[in-house]
Parts: sequence; C-alpha cells; structure tokens
Amino acid sequence: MKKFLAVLAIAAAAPAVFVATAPAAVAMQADEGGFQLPTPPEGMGQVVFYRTGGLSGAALGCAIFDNGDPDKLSSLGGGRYFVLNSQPGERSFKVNSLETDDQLTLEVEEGETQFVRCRIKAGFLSGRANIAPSSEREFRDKYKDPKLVDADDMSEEVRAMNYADAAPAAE
Amino acid sequence: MNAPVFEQEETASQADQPAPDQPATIVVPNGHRIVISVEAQVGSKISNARDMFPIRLAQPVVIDGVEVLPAGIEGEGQVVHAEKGGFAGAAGELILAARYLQFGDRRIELRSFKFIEEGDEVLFRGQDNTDITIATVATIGVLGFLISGGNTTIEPGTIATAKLRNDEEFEVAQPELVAEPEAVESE
Repeated sequence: MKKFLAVLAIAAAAPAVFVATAPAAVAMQADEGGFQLPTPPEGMGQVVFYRTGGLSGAALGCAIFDNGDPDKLSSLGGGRYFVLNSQPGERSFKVNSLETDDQLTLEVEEGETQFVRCRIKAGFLSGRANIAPSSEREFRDKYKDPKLVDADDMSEEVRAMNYADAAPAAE
Repeated sequence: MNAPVFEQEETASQADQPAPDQPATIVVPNGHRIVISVEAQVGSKISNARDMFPIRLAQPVVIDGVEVLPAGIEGEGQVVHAEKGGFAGAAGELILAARYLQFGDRRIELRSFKFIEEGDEVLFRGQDNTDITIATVATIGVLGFLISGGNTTIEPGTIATAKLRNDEEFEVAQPELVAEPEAVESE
C-alpha cells in the first residue's frame, strides 16, 4: 500500500515538475486583447507557422523544412504554432508526407509578420500535409487557443527564437 | 472600385524648411506605405513563379501637403509563388511582391506587397475544399478525391499596398500644397 501511495504521489507531482522546468515562451497569452505576437528583430521579418486543432489528421505531424535542408525547423502537432525569424528575401519551405510533398515560397520582408497554416488533407493511404499562405485575421479567427510547439520538437535555432531562456544555436 | 485612401504617416517625412522660391528636399522613409493597383490579370492557375506583372501607383504620395509621387506612375511586381488548386480540395495559392515604380529615370524600389482584405475575401488563396473532400470520401468513397480546390484570380485594377524599400529623397521646386484626400480605414 505504501508503495502504491508513493507512486501516486510521484505521479501527481510530475506535471508540476514539468511545468516548473519548461522554458519560457517568447510569445505568450496576453491578459486581455487575445494572443500577442512577438515583434520581428531589427532588420528581420518573421513567419508564424500554425496548425489548428481538429480530428482530421490528428495523429500526423506536420514537419516544416527549409526547402533542400534535411533538418526540420519544427513539427506542428494539432493546435500548435512556432515563430521563425528570417532575413528578408525569398525563402522556400517544404512539408513531407507519405504520398507527396508540398512547397511554399514566401518573400520575407523586414519588419513584417507572415502567416503559414498547415493542414492535413485527405490522401489515399495517409493524410497529406499541406502548407498554405494565411493571414493574421485568419490566424486570430480560426486559432482561438494557440499553443507553442514543445521546445524539444524544434531545431536549436528555432528553439532559441521561441523560448526566451533557450540556449542560442552554437556557432 | 474606388481606391482606398490611407492617412499619411506623421513620421513619414523630413521636409527641410526652404527659403521662399528655393527647392525643398523631402525624404520619404523606408517603410512608407503607398497604394498601388495590379494592372494585369494574375492568378494561381494562370501565373508562374518569377512572372512579372505591371503595377501602377493608385494614389499620389503626399508628404506634408506636397505631392512627391503622382498617381499613375507605373512599375512592376513579381509572382513569388503560384500553385493551382487541385487534388482533394487543395486551394490555389498566389503570393505576389511589389518590385518598383518608375518615376522618370528613377526607380523607386518597393517591398511588402499586401492585398487589402475586404470582409472574408482572401485573395492570396482560392477556395479550400479540403473539408468537403474529407466528408465526401467518408460518405461515398474515393470519388471524393476528385473534388478540386478553387483558384484565385486577381483582376486588373485590384488595389493593394506596398512600402518603400529605401529612403527616397525628392527635390521639389516651389512646392504647391496639395490637399490630402480623406482617409478611410485600412485593414
């Protein structure tokens, strides 16, 4: 019985420990006025990647890559988002799925925030991840409860952009 | 469609105070927003990435009551991304960029192209039929995959905004004060 109670106590304490050690997100829920987006760093633009919740394709991740780079930037689960800061200029992104790839090229602009929405579309064998341009209005209308992607599901570079106390990428 | 009018930004100018009859130098800073119109049909189905298309300044650039760029000057924009709507309800996608306006022999470089949103209208993307496809596949089977997404087509005269890419200096001889048009709310 004592063992059972000890296990129960550890299990109950675990979420509290996890919360206490989770890194602080750069973008946070504002007390009033809804979700507050970070401002792009001086001379840079930013892209907000997001995926709304829902049952469709819920079991599939939406891994975002720089086109041509084998290392993913981050992976969007249902209801998650992350922010990518970028130098101005054209930048192409890609998502992979079992049946097909989808690409999107953006013109990142200094001081501007752009929005990209990932959806899992129907496929023959499996869902197809799709990334499409979006807008701040759509982001706010359709994405009522934004949650940042977990820190361990981001590349080191992206983690440093989204979590204030994450270590910057090693040079 | 009437071109919407935007309030001139208060911080937008650094006009020198010239002596009477002396030319004035007016600087319009990087990031100053202007109103342009797309002057050709472009679309997710009919355009390709890197295509250039004509644009026109839809509203004069007026700084402190002085017109520095007249409405009607022409330039070019470029298609950054175009993907036609297709299989399983996927919507067509279209991303445009404003490149420059030609003012005499001078090129005014632009950035930050943005459509003006009116109501629920979204111009950078066609009709997304993904949800319909999923529902149809669930009820009648694989034929639902034949439902395609809509495309987006931008008609000539469509109004958008852009920003100046650089600080632009203008010498204005004996500036005539121009009344700024009444402002309307932008997106």
